[in-house]
Amino acid sequence: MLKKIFKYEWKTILPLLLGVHGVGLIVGIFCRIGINLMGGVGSADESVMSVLLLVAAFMAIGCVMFYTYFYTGYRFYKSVFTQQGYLTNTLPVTSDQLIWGKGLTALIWIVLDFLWALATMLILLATPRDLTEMFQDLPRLFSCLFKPGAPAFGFSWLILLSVVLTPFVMIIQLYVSAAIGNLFTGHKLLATICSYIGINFIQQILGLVMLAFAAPRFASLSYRIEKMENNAYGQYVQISAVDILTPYLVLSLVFSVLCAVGFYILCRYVLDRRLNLE
Amino acid sequence: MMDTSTNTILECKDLTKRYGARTALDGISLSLKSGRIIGLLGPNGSGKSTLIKLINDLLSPTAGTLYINGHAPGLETKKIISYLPERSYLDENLKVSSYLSFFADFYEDFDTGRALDMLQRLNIDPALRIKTLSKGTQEKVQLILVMSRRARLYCLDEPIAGVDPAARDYILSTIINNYDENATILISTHLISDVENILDEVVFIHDGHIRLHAQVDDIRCDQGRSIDELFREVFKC
Amino acid sequence: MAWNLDSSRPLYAQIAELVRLDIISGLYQPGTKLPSVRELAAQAKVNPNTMQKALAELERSGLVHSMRTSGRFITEDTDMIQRLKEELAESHIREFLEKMSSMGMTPADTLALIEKILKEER
Repeated sequence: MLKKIFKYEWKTILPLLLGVHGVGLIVGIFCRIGINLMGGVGSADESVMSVLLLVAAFMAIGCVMFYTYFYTGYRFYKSVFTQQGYLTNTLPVTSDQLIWGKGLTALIWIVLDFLWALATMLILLATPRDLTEMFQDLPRLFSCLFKPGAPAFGFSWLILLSVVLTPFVMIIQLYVSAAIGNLFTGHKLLATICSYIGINFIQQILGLVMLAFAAPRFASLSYRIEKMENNAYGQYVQISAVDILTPYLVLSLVFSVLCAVGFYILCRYVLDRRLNLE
Repeated sequence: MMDTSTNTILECKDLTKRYGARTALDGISLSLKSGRIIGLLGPNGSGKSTLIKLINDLLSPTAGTLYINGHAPGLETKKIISYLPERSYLDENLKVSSYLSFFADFYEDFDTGRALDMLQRLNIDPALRIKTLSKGTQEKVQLILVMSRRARLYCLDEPIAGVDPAARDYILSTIINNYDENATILISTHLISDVENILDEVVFIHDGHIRLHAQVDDIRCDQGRSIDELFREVFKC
Repeated sequence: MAWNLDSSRPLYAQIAELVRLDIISGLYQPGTKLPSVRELAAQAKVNPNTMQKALAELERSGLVHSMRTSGRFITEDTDMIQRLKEELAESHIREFLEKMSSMGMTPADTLALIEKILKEER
């Protein structure tokens, strides 16, 4: 059943998202051609027009990413908590299957979206030299991840973990907002948007609190940097920054996991016990 | 041949549903047998839809128990209940044929051939998108989907409210033609004279209480009047 | 055939009467097969359980008998059909005579009037 939920959700959102990304890509290509015709960004005869084109292209990329993310959330809201919910919620599937089936399509689209944005930016900006440099840097990145002795080994894994975790949190945050919005009578979409903003706000506050706890350590960090700048080299400074940032990163990772799990449980609870279809 | 088994398809005890301070269903107890067409009759806001939503696991009871074919509402009951809500749940951007494969995929008891046959008789091309169909046709498509399942219990919530007489005839004959003698059909409506000839049994519901649960022909024999007349008297303002 | 059913009387009894009339009138010939319950129910716009009950009633009277798998058949007993026809006609005539007498018509007056009307119709 999970597979079937996934299949139909995927089929339903595919045409629109494919179209949006296609258009975004074409905009990117045209901007690149335009920039090249005008001499290119960063060239000696850099023109105002080419910078404007670049800004426009980046805005287009941003819009597509924004749209993709919120569209997956809207799909969940629409199919589960509006009139379509009368069908969705009477299918012989569990709420877990429903959340995961729809969530996986959203997850895949967020990853695809990220790769698409990377590709479009490369099309916009890359010169052959950039590309070779990028590929030269790749082994260094891998060495951080796979050589236990390398500097910032643990730190790199933490970063990678946060990167992997982020889309999950992003999606379940959308879903739980829709679930909370469903509890209201009337104006459910508005309530959903407000819950999303509200959740974000609370997360920011808690983030600040965590930062406040970490602040003394940051203060000591800057002190040490000052000290080191007089007698040591940049590399050492970097490593100490890693040392000090690590606890903060661990803390925020734990926070993210707690958020994701909490949102998931709440979302399931609403689907199972607190449906409020109009 | 008719199945003479008298299995209980639905059983509820002291079933209560409150929305905040408002009580929609107040401790109702009801037992429905298989193989019957049952009218759930009551004025607007009497608790008909609430009961149907509880049966379909769209609401959770505040108190009391509810069993469908021996199971509490959930995965198992969703496999055997075919539900027609008051409103359309079709996604306007999808095609009729997408819904055929959707239903066939999710419901083991969906009979695609039967659905195609009914669509053809109404000259509805499955390749059309829902949004190109008129509201009335959309409702018929939804009814066809629901009645093409070989379910044990059909819950039809106000299937004939707000449709013209021709469509009403179509809906009622579709219900009769697809009715399998082992299944149970629960029809909620306040338009009694239109449906009373197809009912075996009626349940009168008012202010969250069951006022009457009887065989239609018993009422006619004992009272010498139609269900509609009796209803008008019971619910006289 | 139009199925004019009165919602204030049990439907199965009315349906049984209507089908009986169809058999007596010869619409359904002796020994032939009756349409299926489902078809009849769809025609009459009643639910199959009601039609089932009506046919069971006819079976009890012997006018219809069911073959286990092939459906229901009209009796081949033409005498019985004839007898039923006469019984039905008789009851209608008695009812009619009662009405006439309540109007003050004697049986002789009534008969004379009937003969007059029949002559005119010819």
